[in-house]
Amino acid sequence: MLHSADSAANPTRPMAAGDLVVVYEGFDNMKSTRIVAGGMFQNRFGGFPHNDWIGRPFGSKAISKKGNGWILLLAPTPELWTNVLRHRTQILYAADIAMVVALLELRPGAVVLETGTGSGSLTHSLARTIAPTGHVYTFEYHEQRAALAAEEFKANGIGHLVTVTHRDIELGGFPEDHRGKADAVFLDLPKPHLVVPSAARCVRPDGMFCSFSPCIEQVQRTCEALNANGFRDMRTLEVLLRQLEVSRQPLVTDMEAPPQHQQQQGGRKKQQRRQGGGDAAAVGGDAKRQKGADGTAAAVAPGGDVPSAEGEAPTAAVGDVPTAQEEAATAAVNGSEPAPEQQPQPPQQQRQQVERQTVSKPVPFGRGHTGYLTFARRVVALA
Amino acid sequence: MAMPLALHGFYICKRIMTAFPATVQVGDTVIFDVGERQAVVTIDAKSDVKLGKAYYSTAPIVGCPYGSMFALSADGKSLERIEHTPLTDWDLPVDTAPDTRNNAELVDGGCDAQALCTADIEAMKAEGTAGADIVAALTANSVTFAAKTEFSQAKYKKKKAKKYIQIATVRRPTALALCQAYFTSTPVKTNYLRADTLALLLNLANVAAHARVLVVEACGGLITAAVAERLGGHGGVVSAWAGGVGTRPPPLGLWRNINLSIAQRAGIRLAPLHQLLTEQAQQAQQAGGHCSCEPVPAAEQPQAAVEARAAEGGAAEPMDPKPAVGSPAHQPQQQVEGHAEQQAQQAQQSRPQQRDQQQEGAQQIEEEAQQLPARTGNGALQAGGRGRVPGTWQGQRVEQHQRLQPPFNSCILASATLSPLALVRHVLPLLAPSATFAVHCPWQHPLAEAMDALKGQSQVANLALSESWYREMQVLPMRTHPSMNMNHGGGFILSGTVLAPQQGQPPQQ
Repeated sequence: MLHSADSAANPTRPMAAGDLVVVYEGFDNMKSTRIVAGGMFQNRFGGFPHNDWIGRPFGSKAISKKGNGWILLLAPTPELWTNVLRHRTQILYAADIAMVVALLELRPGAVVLETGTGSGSLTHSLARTIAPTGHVYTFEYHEQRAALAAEEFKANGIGHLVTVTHRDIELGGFPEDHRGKADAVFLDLPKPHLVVPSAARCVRPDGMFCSFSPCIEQVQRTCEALNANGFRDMRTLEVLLRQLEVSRQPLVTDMEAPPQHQQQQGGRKKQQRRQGGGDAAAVGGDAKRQKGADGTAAAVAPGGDVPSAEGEAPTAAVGDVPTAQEEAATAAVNGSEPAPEQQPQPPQQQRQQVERQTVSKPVPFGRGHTGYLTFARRVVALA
Repeated sequence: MAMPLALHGFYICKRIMTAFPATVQVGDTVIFDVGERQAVVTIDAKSDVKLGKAYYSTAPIVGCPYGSMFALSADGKSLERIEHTPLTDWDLPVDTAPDTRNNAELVDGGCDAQALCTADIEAMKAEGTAGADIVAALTANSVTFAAKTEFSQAKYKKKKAKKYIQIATVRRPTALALCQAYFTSTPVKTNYLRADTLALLLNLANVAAHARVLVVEACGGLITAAVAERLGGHGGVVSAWAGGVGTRPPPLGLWRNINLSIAQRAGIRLAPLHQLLTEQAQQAQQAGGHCSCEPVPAAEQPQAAVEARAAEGGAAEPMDPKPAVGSPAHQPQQQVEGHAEQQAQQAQQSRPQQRDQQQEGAQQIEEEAQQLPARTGNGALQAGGRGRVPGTWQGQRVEQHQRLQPPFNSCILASATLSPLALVRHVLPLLAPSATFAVHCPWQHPLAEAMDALKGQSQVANLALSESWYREMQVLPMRTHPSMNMNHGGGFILSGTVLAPQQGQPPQQ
């Protein structure tokens, strides 16, 4: 999963059997799979033979056997892994992971202790940052999760950088053989204040400590313990990534013309009354035409316009707002008379001026809080 | 902890190999943190730092561990190491007896509340009264102090301590620490790049050892520095700039301030984008014009070594103390002619420097980069004056030079004056299939337009536009709450993954 001397020498190397690959179907729709000669990946578009992937570079598009859909094959990274991993516990996400790695001052060669391992989301990023000469010692009190995590790290090619130990750190602290050797310690525990003294023994002078806690009470007890156990520069902060969605919206620029929907509604109702429901087909047809435009956009994705964010509005595939003129024309085709309000007028005057603008706004619902990050630095003694 | 001379040499060698050199050495840059202000200082025989109102020699700092604290010696003439003392915030009795004090009758009398006047305080300082004693005197002479609540008293004492007790901490200049230092005092130098944003850019672009990274930035070189730190000497980063032939680079000198090792510095290259595009086009030609899965041909390398060696002469690293971040405006020294050549000839390190001789980092890097196109067009940075490793560097250079050429598998773009869409399209040919990129912009709309134009075009996928949100907390017993002030200037990030050219289509032009 990580960069290596090989990938540095050959950044365009092709996919091969045994590689882990992230199958990307859409922004919130990704899975990981391992390439196997003769293997097959199935989704709602059908089967995608692995043999078609072998020999092509990562980042390629694969077409289904039936030819009606496609997937993208991306090289796995810790960020993508966070999106595809099996959640055995609540995990850390990109914003927190980035801040932890950065403020713990991690870099190649660093030694970091982590507990609990959980689903290994953060662990992959820790491994990436300390590679190739550092090490991650991670501790998990749930035996089965510890074993699963160890298997996953090995399968993902970071087994040589990560040592998983089944141990309850809140009960027994970190093992003594880490005394004074860690450059950084990370805690994601219910009672981190219990572990602060052990962390103080393990972190080298001027090394860094971080605790991730959803609750403010945990933070308060942790800060008090840090101050009493040889830590300084306590800092508690929150980070979040606010997702934004991008779309194109037609915005009316003509302030004088009546709004389209009012013209249409008036027209439809008048026509219905006049023809006694005979125009239901016309109305339904028009409604279907509109829905068809939306539906087209939806069906094309992920085949065509790949939605770039949650809740993305339809793109230019949606036609212009039908004007009263078109409405009248449809009605006319179906043999009804145009309503008195809809006298035939030159199309330019009737077509409402709209400007299709690229707009962006925050996605309405998203993560509001993950946890507080509390950082501290190990004091350097005078003698 | 003083460093015996015999061990000094050992620790110099060890520094090349350890991730965290433990002690400050001559030639290192440090962050001299006095609380409200952090100065970025390069330590040499003549450098000094400001504590309180005066400047003091940095000599006592040499050999001390990073993280050491200093105060003024008893005679007030030099810096002296002191022990750290824990905060007293958690010592206050909590809810033992109902505290009936409040500020219902506290009237702000301005100066009348304090019996001591400015002259008295200055006299105390002149006598050499310790800061703690001044604070005690102020507390005793404040008519309103006794009536304040316990919390209010603690806050008062803290505020006075900040002003009268001068304590400094010598910190390691990590890229993040520098980012925060510049952000609080002179953010214009790093184009207001906030620490959480920088952290995100590094992760979203998948920067790590052995990556081949392309950076286009206008943040003073801070992003390049942060990338070099994450590379740890494995892989390479090219810091590039847009504009045609002859365009001068923006200031990119901040990589000098993070104490990079020789191996790390060898992995940094400064080059204009047009040159990288030329290299990429040459590679494509040699590979027959289709997406190549072969490494850079060996024929390139001897030429590159010659270029690199010639470039070294112009890219040697000066040892000037950096302008103190947050210090009052200084007089930029006139550029010394041929400064870089002089240093290339001298193999020695520290030169005597006047505190006033403070070069703008921008002037230096521009001078070096301008020399380079005249000679080689290749901005590969060499180890320079700080302990060159003889005999082996050429082997290093040839092997690493490949890492400093396209295609790149990691890309960070953070140049606020350039249209993100135009810049992404411009650098796409330089990026390998499945390369991860992150584009930062202080404004939302240019990234929205870029995202709108790029999605569905089959050149990039996994596009995400996000805003980085950040808030600090005050954590104290009975007084925990988010900080009253908050910075909203993290900017916006567009991230994504580059797709391989579709089969049957020509590579991205």
